[in-house]
Amino acid sequence: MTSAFLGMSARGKRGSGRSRRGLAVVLAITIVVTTVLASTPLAARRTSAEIDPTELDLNAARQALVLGDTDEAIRLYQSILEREPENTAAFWGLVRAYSTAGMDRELLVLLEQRLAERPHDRRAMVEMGSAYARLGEFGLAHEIWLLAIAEAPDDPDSYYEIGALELRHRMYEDAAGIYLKGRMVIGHPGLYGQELVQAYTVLGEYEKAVAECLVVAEERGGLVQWATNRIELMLDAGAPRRDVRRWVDDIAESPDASPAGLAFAGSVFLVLEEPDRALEAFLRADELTGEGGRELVRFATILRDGGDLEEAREAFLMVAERHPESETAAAARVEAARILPALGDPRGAVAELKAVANEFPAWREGGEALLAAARIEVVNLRAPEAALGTIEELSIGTRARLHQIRHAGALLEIDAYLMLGRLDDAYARAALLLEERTKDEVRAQAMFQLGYVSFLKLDARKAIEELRAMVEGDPGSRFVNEALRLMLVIAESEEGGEQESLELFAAAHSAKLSGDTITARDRINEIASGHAGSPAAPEALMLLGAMEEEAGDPEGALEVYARVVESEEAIRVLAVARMRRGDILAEEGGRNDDAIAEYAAILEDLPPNFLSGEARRKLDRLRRGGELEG
Amino acid sequence: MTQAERGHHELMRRIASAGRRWRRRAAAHGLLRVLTPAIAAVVLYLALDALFVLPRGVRIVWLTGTAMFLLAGLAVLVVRPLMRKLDPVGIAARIEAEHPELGERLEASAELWEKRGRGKHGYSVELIDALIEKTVADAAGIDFGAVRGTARARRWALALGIVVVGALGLAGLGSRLGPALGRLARPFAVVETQAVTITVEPGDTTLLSGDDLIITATVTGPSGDGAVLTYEYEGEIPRERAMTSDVTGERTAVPDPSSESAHRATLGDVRTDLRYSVSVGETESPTYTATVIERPFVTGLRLDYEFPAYSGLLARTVDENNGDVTALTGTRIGLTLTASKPLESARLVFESGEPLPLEREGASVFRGGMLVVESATYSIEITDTDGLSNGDPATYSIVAVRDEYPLVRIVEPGEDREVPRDMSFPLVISALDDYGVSDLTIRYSIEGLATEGVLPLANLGRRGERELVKEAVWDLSETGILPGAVLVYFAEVTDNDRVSGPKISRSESYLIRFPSMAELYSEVSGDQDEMVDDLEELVDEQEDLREEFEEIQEELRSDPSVDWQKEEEIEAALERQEELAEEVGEMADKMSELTDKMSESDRVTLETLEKTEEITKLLDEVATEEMRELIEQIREAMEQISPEQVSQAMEQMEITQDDYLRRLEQTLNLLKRVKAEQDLADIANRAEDLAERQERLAEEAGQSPGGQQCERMSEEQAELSKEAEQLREDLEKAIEEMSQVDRQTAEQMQEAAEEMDMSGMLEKMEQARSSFMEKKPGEAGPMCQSASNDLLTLFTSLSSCQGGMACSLEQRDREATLRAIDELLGVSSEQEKVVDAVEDRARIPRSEIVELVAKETDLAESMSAIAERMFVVSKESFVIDPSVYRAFGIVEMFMIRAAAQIADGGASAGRREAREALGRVNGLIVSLLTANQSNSPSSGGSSMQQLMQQLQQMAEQQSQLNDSTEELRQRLEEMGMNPQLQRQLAEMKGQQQRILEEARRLAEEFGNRDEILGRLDDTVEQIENTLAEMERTGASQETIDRQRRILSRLLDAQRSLRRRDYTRERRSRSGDAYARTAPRALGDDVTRATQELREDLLRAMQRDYPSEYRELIRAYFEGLSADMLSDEPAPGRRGEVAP
Repeated sequence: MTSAFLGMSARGKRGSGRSRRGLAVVLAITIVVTTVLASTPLAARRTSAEIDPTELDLNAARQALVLGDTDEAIRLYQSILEREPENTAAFWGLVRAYSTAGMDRELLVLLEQRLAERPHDRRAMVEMGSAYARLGEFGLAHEIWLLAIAEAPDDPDSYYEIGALELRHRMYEDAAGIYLKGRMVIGHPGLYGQELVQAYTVLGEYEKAVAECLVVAEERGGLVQWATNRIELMLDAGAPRRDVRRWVDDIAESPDASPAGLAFAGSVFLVLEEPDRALEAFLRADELTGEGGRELVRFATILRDGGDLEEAREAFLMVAERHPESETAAAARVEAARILPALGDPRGAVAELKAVANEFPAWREGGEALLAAARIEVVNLRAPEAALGTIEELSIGTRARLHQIRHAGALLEIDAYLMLGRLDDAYARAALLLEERTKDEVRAQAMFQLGYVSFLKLDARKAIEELRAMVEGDPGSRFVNEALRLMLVIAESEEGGEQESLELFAAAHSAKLSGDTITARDRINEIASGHAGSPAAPEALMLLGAMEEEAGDPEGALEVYARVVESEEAIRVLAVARMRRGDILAEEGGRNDDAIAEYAAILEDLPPNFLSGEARRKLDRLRRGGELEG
Repeated sequence: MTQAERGHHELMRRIASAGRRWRRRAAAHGLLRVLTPAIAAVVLYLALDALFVLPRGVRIVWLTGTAMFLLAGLAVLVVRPLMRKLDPVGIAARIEAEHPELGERLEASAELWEKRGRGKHGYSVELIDALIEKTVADAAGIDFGAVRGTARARRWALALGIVVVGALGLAGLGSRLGPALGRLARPFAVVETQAVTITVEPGDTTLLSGDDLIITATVTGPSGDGAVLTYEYEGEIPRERAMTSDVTGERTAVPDPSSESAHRATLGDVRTDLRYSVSVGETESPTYTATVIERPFVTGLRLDYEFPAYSGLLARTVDENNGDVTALTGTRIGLTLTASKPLESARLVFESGEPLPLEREGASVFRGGMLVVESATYSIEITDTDGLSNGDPATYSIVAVRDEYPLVRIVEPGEDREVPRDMSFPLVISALDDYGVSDLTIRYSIEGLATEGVLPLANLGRRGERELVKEAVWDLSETGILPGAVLVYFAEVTDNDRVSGPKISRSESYLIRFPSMAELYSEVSGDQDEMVDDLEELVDEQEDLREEFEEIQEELRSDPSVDWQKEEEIEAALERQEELAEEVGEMADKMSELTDKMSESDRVTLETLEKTEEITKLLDEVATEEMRELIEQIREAMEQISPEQVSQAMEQMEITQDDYLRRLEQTLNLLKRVKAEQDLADIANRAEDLAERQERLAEEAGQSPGGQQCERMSEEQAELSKEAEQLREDLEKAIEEMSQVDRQTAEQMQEAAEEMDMSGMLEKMEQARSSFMEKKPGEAGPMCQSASNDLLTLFTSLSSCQGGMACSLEQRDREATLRAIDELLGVSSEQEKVVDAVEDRARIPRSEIVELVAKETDLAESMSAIAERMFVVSKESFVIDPSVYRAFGIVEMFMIRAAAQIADGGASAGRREAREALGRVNGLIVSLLTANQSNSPSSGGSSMQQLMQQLQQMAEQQSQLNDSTEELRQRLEEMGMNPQLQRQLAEMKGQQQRILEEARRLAEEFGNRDEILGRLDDTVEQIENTLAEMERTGASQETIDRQRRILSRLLDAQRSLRRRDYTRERRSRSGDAYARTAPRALGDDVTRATQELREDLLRAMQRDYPSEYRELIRAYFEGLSADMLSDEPAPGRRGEVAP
């Protein structure tokens, strides 16, 4: 600053007499202004802020309040107000201190004084309403709050705030009234819908609640699921199913029904387990939207995700029937075929899918169909050669341009190579895939496959590096858990000099991949017997347990998990093994006591862990004589 | 009268008037023409006469001619024009010539008027009248008298002006003008002339070379000129010079003919013969000769320097014809002079004192000698055979260069220090002198004692080195310093000056303090206690505050709106949080100071220091930037009245606070742990220290000391007993503290304490003291030895407690981390299931939603449980970074959010949160894996760690062997030697041999490491001696004692490893507590700078600078030094600068 000032002076000297005079005037003004400012009370206050007694008292009062010493806080605030009656901070501090100390009577006196002086102090009104509400004077509270709203009638937040306060004090009716009033005043029919659903549900006014759910669903299409969920909650809370059905019928049959309203009604019909009514609603919605079956696809998807597979398949096929030759129809046929393996017909699924692919060779849906077919060949049919052939088809024609499908096909290709024991091909394909620009999930999976192949090839160091890269790249992706467990086994085996058990573990994996379960079992048993304390042992046994379960040998699985329980100490393995045992025993039927013992062991023998809650719930259900679900 | 007549009359009048004017003008012009030459002739005459005095004939002719010309000119050119008659026609013609516009009408008018009406041929009257009228009309306005051509008149006027100026110029003739005027007035008078005589002094003369020759001339008779000196140096051309008046000093002018005038001229610095004469006008004096003669002078001067022998300087000769001498005091100077001519005598004349005659060496060569004692001046006086001396001889200086005081500095340590554990005090002394150091010693005294000790460091004799750096290790045990005492020491250096006597200089004084172990222990321990108390308070406050935030958050969950009241509440809590953060920051500073203090102590282990630094780091990290940002975020959200943002920020705040609290708690626990460890280490050290001192006393007791020594030993024993009692008390406290952090180690310590009690060590020490008092050292000796052994046993036990504690902690940390990783993998696996369940699902059945929400809530709880379990272990650990717990909190937060979202809006709502939770939990596993890997024993570890482990192992083996030997000795005493015991002894020898081999291997592999230098070799030697002892005496007490020493050595080596490689730069100690008031105090900086200057000076003086520069160099350095001292405003705390 000094140099700048000097620079100005120097320029001034070089300049004309007038400019020198101008500079002098500016400087004089600056000096005068600075002097005046420096001597003003404002500056003085700033500089002596630290020793301002009021500030000190305010700070002390706040601290006292935080530390729970309300008496001291009240004393300090009062002393400030005696000195400075207009000190706002002290006033509201005192209000807070009174309300914290539960001195609502004193608070009311204070607020009355305030309102006498400032009749339009909305904040004071809100506080006064709260004080009355705390004292149980809900009528008075509501009146005061209405007055507070009247101070800002056009502000939507004002209704929101008061409504929330009334909900908090369980003044649900009043709250609903406030929200409705707000909706009317503001003139937006969708406003406060979610809050009203809450209020009406608590009040047991389910009809109104359902109506508000409809409002919400129509207002925001994305909230159909939320609204449906609310209906389920109402039913849980005791809403009469029949009435609910009637109200939803009204919605569905209303000539003014919107597609969103119909979709909501359809969803609720599904909750009410009335798929036909649901279908009707969705069909009508479909007609109204004119989007070529999209609403029907939604219906089918809901059915599928809800576990109604056959109905879902029918619904998908209905889409194809109603809108033939459309993309939606092709997609629906793919989805319909995808359901077949779960219904026990994977070959039928492959045939249907290939038919779709042949019918729509240039469409994306055709590619999706081939991909789904290849997946079924790998996962359900364990036919890697066939899968490789199907994947090869993906690279023909326009499908090759669909990167996502091609990348998904590449992942299946790797799986197929692994099943065929062609580790080098699998590694090379994964590496090749990583050279392309892919979605994160595809990338993560390819990276995992790299590490996994290295593990199978017994290159421990490389495997750890590749798996680590995968985990660090996207820790939220699939296979990360598996990668981490594998890394831990490899690292600990290396550290503990347990190469042999690690090799056996890799061999077991290879055998399992190629479908040679006997060899896999042998290798795992070798580990369990010869390398009992090795890091690979618990993982190997858990793998064996899973294999037995897959093979449909519950007894075998129970035995394996029992070995785990006997031989292992780690909480995770013990908890999972006991959980699996409990689940198998419970599913077996007639062995609920054994299952209960297993679940109880998770709770009693192990410290609180990630399966404790689940074990407790299952235990309760079994003890109540119910069956396990989910 | 007609108009024409009137016109004619007018014209005539005007013409006549013009004629008169012309006549006057012509006369005036004529006068100019006459007067100008006449005056010019007179002026010329005067000038010539004044200058040359014109002969009378010339004067007469000139003046006569001039007068005639004047008369004739006046008649012709003045009188005649005036007398001339006026002719109107002629005048008219002239007027017309001046005014051509008149044509000839004026002349015609004048002429024709006369003829008007007269001619027969008709000069018409009318015509003439008309002419006249016309002429009158034309001439109206014309001045007939005006003359256009006046150029000639002006020229004459100009000539007259020049002449007048010339006349005025005659004044320049000065005095000559008067006689000339006189002669003008009397032109016929005759001027007479007189003869001029010149008398010259000194005439022919002789003078000394270089003297001035003053010549005077007295002139009588008239003369027009001044006196002129003409002189001619031998072999040169003659020259002239005007002489000056002897009276006025001015150049002589024309003399008054009647008077006599004196003239003078001076020829300066005459060095060769010359001839001269004086002339005045035409008169010239005779020519005289001045002959020059010369004084004797010194043409050559040689100085032979012979320096004092001790200086080591070589003799030298300076043959530069310069008598100035600069030499070291005591130097003998030989002086040889050569004169310009044969001399009668020569001598040295000093400024003060007797002259020193020189001895003749030849006709013109003389020689003498002198001793340089002090600075002085002298000159050389010589006299030639003519009796002429060397006039004003040159003065020479003698500068006696003094031998500087030597300089000595204690380079290392160069500050106050404490007594090292091994009593070996390394010293580096630097001494410097211009001609050599002969002696270097350390002088010391113990405060409170009158006697002074001397530690000789170097005795170099007469030809000592000029610069000496002496490194030495001072065995302080020889000084007799006792714990709690202070030793003052300085270095003393003596130079080799044999001329003026050896000079002694001293370095600054420094202190060596021998603090008692208990003192150091209580100092650090006290600070640590204070820190622990402060931190406990902070933790409590933070817990309260966290609860406060939880309540607020709870309120916000049930009612997200932020009213003013809530705002106030939040603001107050935020302010409190800020204050707490500040307090934590202050505590971190305190911790840092404590670490520094500890690092300055030689008794703190490297591990402890590292841990203390780690704690400081933790405290620094506690006050996270994130917390500050969150506080700001909450404030901003409140300002923007955004309940959602406030709620989110508060949620984050809760996690951050958890993390904060965990960090604080961890710091507190670690501090407690470090303190307990430090206490343990300290007591072990003190036990070892006491054991060593007790053993020394035992050795002294074995040397049959005299009565006085017994008294001293009794006092020392009393001191040892006191310290041992204190040690026992402190051990009890340390056990109590340790029991709070490590029960197992506390139990081991308790066992060691009980063993100590059972050994009756304190009683033995008391007995020894009594025996010393009674002057029975023979009885005291075994007691001392036994007490020493007991102390060594205590030390051994406590050291193994230390080692075990560290190992168990590391193992526990690692296991806890691995357990947490394993459980987190379970969580991750379950979370994956949740993600799979909610992804891409259009609808999830109600029952499944309930299950998912429950699962997510379970997982969130299990995160908390895992964190809690890990924290229980890691809060005493340095391995797990507390920031990990924050990651736990964040995972938990996302899981709770996911659960809430799924419960509220179905699967689609919680998808993002569930996936985020999965990513975070996996990330957490990775970071824990990384941390665990870097701490795992197989992750490399340093070679030093390996060495530590091997030493630990060896120490354990030796300890077991020691126990076996003791047991064997008892059995031997009970049963005597039998084959079984013999076998046992052989086995034990074998074990000792294996330990020896291992020790040799380690010594070979690691022995050259700085951290352990020498210790392993010593251990090997000890084991070898023990083996020899075993061979000789079997399992004797001697063997047992030796084995204990081996164990002690092994433990010592371990401790060295822990302590010595701590590379942190130690801060210099202030030493204020021990400062003494020094009489000649200087600021440290000034003292140092002055010393450096003196060093520079001494070094500069040692170089081969020309002697004349040496004094300049000295003056330069002394000037600098003086400046520095005068610039120093305040005196320093101590320091003596010699001399």
